[in-house]
Amino acid sequence: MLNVLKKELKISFVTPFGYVLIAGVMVLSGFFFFSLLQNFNYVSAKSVNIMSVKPNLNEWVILPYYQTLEIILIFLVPILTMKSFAEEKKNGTFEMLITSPLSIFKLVLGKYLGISIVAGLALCSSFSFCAALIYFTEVETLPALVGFLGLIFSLLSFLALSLGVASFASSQTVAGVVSLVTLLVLYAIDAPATQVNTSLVNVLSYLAPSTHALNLFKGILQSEDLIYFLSLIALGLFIANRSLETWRRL
Amino acid sequence: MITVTNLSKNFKEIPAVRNVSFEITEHEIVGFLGPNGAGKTTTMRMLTTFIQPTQGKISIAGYSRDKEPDKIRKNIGYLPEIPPLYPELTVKEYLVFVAKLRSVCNAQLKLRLEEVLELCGLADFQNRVCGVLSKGYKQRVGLAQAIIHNPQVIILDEPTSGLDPLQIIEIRKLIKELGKQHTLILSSHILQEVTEVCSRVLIMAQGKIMADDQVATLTQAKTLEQIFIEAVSE
Repeated sequence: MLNVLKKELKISFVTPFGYVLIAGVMVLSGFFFFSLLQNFNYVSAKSVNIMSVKPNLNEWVILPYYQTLEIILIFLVPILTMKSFAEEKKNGTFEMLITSPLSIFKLVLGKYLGISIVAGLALCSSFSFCAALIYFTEVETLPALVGFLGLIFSLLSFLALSLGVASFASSQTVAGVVSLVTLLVLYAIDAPATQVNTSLVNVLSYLAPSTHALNLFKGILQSEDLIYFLSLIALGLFIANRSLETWRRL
Repeated sequence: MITVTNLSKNFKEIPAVRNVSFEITEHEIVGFLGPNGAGKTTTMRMLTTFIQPTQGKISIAGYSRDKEPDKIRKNIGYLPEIPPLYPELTVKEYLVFVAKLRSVCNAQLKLRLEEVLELCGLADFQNRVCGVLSKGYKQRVGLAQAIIHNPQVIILDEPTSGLDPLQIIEIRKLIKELGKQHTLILSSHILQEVTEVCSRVLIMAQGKIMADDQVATLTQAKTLEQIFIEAVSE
């Protein structure tokens, strides 16, 4: 398993891939962070005249920043996972891996951890802006950290699901498109909730990752949300494992 | 070493391999000969546990494919038609990766790596990235990954396809060398290759075995070409 993980990391960092990814995430997140901060400055300048309560940074910058990053992740994750199995099939190395004594679960786990580390590094680079905010201003640190934990859990569960989807495909494009659609549908699954009856509203909003991520973004750490994300991770890895297992049975 | 009984494989309803049986003893070099689409690759893929047979039994090195596929995986080395390589890794990095994948222990790894690099003529290329190698060298790396764990059985799918004449001669020499210590199966549609390299030949056509004998015995009365054409046109 560690062997596969090492190989994945090596491939990500001997090619420009890993560096481009990290730089790309920094540029993108920097742009949104800057916009939100500008917005905050505008609102707080206005509030001096109108309101007595000053807007706080956690609510006006950190929270929407994390929400934006969550959406960025939805688009980023399929790009990361789409080549994980399609590329092996193209290189012919898939045959080599399947005919080796390595268990499928270790293969899946090695790949998953490899991608998670690369993507995790990219995500951490986006936290540098929050870190600066924590250092220079009076942002409440703990909620900001808990919120970032929410982002990490979102990333890990999106990656697992996306890897599960990618394990079926032989083409990168198909893997990428299907993963993207899956994640978008999951993200927006509670959208029709307002038009249907209440019991369904609860179910749909429970299924949406944004509901659980929002709790964490607000700084509320509860086991219910963590269990939700862990189940998504387990589900994704289980799907990937099963779909590759059937290869050996074809 | 290898026993195959009544092996069949259908892809959906189309039969690719039909009721094939054969036995291969230790240190034999067996050539699978046949036109394209004869079922050579499918048979080899079943032997390597890459795909599951529709029917029939396979046993390699005393292990049954149904009961102990992992034991079989440990005892075979396999070079598919396209040599499996990661273009981003160097030859050495790649071979270390495969060796660990095939559970070669750390104590043996260094020695084994040196032996294999030497045997496959890759010693000067070990720090090159796989992606930039020529086709002949890619094939050598493919062979190297198939033998790095010193398997009992080596399965090579068209090991010389797409190589230039000089490379073909070198690879054939290497195969003969490997045949001294391992049981070897290779597929080919080049008749001359099989007569030169193999001790025994299995001619396949339309998923069936049309002829199975020692090369020397088969070629006593007729040339291999005549036998091949007769077998294929049956």
